[in-house]
Amino acid sequence: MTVAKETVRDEREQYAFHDDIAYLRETKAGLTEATVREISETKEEPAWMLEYRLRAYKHFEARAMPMWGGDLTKLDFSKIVYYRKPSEREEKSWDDVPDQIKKTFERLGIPEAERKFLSGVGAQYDSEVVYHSVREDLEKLGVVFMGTDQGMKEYPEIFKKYFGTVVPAEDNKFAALNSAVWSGGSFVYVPKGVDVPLPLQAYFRINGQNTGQFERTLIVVDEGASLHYIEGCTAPNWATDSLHVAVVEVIALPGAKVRYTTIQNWSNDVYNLVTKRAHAHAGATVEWIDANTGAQLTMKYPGIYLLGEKAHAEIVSVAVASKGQHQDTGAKAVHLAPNTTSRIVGKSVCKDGGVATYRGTVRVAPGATGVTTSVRCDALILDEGSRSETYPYIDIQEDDTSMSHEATVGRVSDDQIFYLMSRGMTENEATNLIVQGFLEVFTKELPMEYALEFNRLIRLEMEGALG
Amino acid sequence: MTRRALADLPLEWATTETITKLSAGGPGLSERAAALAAFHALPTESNLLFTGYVDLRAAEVERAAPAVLSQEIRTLSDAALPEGAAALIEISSAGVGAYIGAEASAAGLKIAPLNAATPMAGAAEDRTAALIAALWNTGVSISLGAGRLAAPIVIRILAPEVGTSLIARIAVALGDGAEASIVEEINGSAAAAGAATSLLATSSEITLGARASLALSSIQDLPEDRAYVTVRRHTFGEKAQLQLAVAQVGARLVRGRIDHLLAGDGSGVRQVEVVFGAGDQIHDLTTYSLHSGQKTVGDLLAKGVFAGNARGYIKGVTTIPRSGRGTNSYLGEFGMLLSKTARSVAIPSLWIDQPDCERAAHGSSVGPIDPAQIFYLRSRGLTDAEARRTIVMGFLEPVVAALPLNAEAERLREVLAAKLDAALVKQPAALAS
Repeated sequence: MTVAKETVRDEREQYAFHDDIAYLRETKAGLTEATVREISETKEEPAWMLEYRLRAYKHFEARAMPMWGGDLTKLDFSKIVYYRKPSEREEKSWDDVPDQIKKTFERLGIPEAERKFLSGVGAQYDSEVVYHSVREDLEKLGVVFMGTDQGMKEYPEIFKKYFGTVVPAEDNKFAALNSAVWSGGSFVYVPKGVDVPLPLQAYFRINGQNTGQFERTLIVVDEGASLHYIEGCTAPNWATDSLHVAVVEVIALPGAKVRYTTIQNWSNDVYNLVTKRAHAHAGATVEWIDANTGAQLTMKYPGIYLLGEKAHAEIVSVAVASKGQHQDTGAKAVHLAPNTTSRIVGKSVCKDGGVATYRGTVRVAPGATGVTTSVRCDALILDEGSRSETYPYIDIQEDDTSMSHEATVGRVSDDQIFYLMSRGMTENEATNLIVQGFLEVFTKELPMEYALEFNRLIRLEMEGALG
Repeated sequence: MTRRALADLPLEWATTETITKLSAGGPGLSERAAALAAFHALPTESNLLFTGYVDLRAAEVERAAPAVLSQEIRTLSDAALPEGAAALIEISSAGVGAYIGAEASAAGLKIAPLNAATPMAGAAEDRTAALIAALWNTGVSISLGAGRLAAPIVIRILAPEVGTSLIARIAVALGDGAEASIVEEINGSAAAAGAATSLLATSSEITLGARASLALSSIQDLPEDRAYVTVRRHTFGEKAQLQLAVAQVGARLVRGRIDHLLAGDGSGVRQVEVVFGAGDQIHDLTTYSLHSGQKTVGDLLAKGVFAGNARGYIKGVTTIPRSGRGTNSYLGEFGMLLSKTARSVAIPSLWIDQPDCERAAHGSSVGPIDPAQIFYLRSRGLTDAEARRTIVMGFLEPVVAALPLNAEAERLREVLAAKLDAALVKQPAALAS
C-alpha cells in the first residue's frame, strides 16, 4: 500500500529556475568608486545623490566588518556584481513588462495575487524595479507606490526630507554599502488620513549569478493614515554567493499606523544583511511582522524608535534555520518618549545543523517615563547538532518603566508527538503541526492567503525533519 | 591628562618587576609571568556580547601597588572566633590569619598558605583572572577531605588602605561526600569619599568532589571609595551541590565574574544574588554556567535595586553543550529603579546545542515601585518612606531569605535597610503626604 506522504510537494524548485537574460547594463564585478559613479550616472541622478553615495562608499571602505553575528569571512565583496539592469524602465502595465521577466513573475504568481487581494504591486528584478501599479482609486487619493528611483525624481520634496533620516549612511557597514550602491526598492507615500484597505506588495527577485541586490525602501505614512506593506523574496540557487543588502526606512507620522510584513525565502546561497528601522511619532503604531526561512546567513533586527508620546511598537520575528543556515535575527525597540509601549515576540526553530539566534534590544532612554514593554522569545531545537542562541539586551534608564522579558528553549515534546500519533498522524505530520502551532503568533498576523502560503513553506522546511 | 577609555584600567605596577618581588625568589614566577602576559594581551571584556557594558573609569588604582606580604598564616586567638563558627580566616593587608575550632579540627579541616605554583584556571581567558593570577600577594587554601562540618567557616576580608591593593586568592577543595558552609564578610574601614583609589581583588577557586555539598554566602559592604574585582570559579564533581548567595552592596565599582562548570553528572547550583547600588556606584556582574554534565541543574536568580546615579549591568550566559542532556536551567534577572538617574541593564543569554533539556529558560523584569502598593500600605497607616522601604525590602526578601545561614540573612537585612534609608532620604517622595 502506498500512502501519500502529506500533501506537501517540494515546490521550491519552482523558484529555483533562472533566466538567461541579456542585461541592458551591468557593472563589472567588484566595488570601486567608479562603480558608484557608474550606477549614479546610469540612473541620471541629481548631484546630491552622487555625493551621498560617495560619502557612504568611503564609510563602507573605512568601516570594519562586524565581529559579532554570523560568519562573514567567506563573503567576498570583489566577486559581487553591484548593478544589473534588466529592463529599460518601470512599467505600470503588466503587458509592457519584457516577456522573459513577465514570465518569471507569472511563474511566481504575481499578477494573479494582485488581481485577488492587493491594493498595489511592485516587482524588482535584480537591480531595477520592472513593474509597479497601484489601484486607481487609491492613486486618486494621492497614494504613491513606485520604485524608489522614480520616487526620488517625481517626489523630490518628500524624498529629500526623509531619505537617510531613519537609517543614516554611517549606521553600520551594510547600511553604508546600501547607501553607496542602492537601486530599486519601493517608495510609498500615504497622505494624511488615507486608509489603504488592502496590502501593497513588493516582490523581490535575484536572478543573476553573484548578483548583489541593494534595494532601498522608503515609506512615509502621513498623519492618521494607515498602510500594510508586504514583501516577498526569492532567488535561484546558483551555488555561488549572492548578496542582499537592503535598507528599509519607515516613517509613521503622528497617529499613523504601519504594518510591514516580510516573508524572506531567499535561496540558501544568499547573504541577507538588512537594516530595517522605523520612526514612530506621537500616537503612531508601527508593526514589523518578519519571517526568515531562506538565505545562508540572515542578520536582520527590525527596529522601531518611539519618538513621540504614546507611540506603539510591535515586532514579531520568526526564523527557521535548516542545514547550512544561520538566522541571526531579532528586534530593537528604543523608547525615547513618554508613555510609549512595545511588544516583541521572537520565535525560532532550528534543525539539521541550523543555527537560530535571537538578538534583541529594548532601551528606555532618560525622559521616557511611563513606558511599558514586554519581550518574549522562544526557540525550538528539533535535533542534536542544531543550535539556539538568545542574546537579549535590556537597558532601562527610567524609574517608572514596566519591562518584562521571558525566554524558553526546548524541543518538541515526546508527549505531544505521541498524542498526535495516537490520533492517526505520522511522526512527521505531528511535528509539522506542532511547529506550525509554535509559529502561529506569526501566521495569525498574516492575511489568510499568506498564512496558507507560509504554512506550506514551513511544512516544506519540516519535510523529513525527523528521520 | 588623556581621557580614559571605558575599559581601561591603567596599572603601572603590572610589571615583571612586581611579580618578581611578589614571588620572592620562590616558585610560581613562571605561572605569574604567563598570567601577566595574558593580562596585557587580553581585552578587559573578551566576550563581544558585553563589550558595550564596561566602565572601569571610577577605579584610580594606577599607583596602588600590592605590598609583598608574608605567606605564613598567623594563628588568631580563640577569642576572635565568632559565636557558632567552626573556623575563622582573616585576610587583610597583614596577610592571612586563622583559627580552627575544635569541631573543625576534628573533622579534618585544613587551612594552609596557597602553594605559590598553584595554577589558576581561567587566567588565560579572562583579564581579571589574569590580573589576580599574576599579582596576588596573599593566598589561602582551605580543604576538607571528607565528613561534615555543621558550623560555618567564616572568612573576613578587610579592604586595603587607601592607595594600596590587596589581591587575594582563596582556594577551597571539598573531597567526595564532604559538606561545609562558608560565610564571607567583605568590609573595610571608611575613608575619604571620591574616586576609588584602592583595589581589592579576590578569587574564589572552588573544587567540589563527588556528592560534596557547599553553602557559600558572601556579603560585600565595602566603603564606597574602593574598587572591587572578583572571579569565582566552581568545578563540580558528580552530584556535587553548591548553594551560593552573594550580596553586593558596597564599593564604588564592582566587577565580578562567576563561572559554574557543571561537569559532574547530576551536579547542581542554586545561586541568588542581591545587588543594591546608590550614589555613583557601578555593579558589573556576569555569571557563566556551563552545563557539560548530564542532568545538571542551574537555578540562578539576581535581584537589583538601583538608586541615585547607580548603574547595574547584570549579565549571564547559560551554555548547554551537546553533552548536557537533561539539563534544567533557569536564569532570572530582576531590577527595580528608585531614581530617574539610575540605570539597569540585564543581558541574560542562552547558548544551546542540546535539544534534550528539561528546562532552558530565562526571565527578567524591571519595574518601579508600584504606586498602588504604596497607596495600600499608606492606607494602613505607614508613611510614604515606610511604605517604600517595605516594598523594596519585600522585593529583595526572596533572595535574602535564601541565604543559607539565618544570622547572615539577618545581618544582610540590616545592611540593606540602612542603605535603603539613606537612599530614600535623598529621594523626593513621589506621593507627598
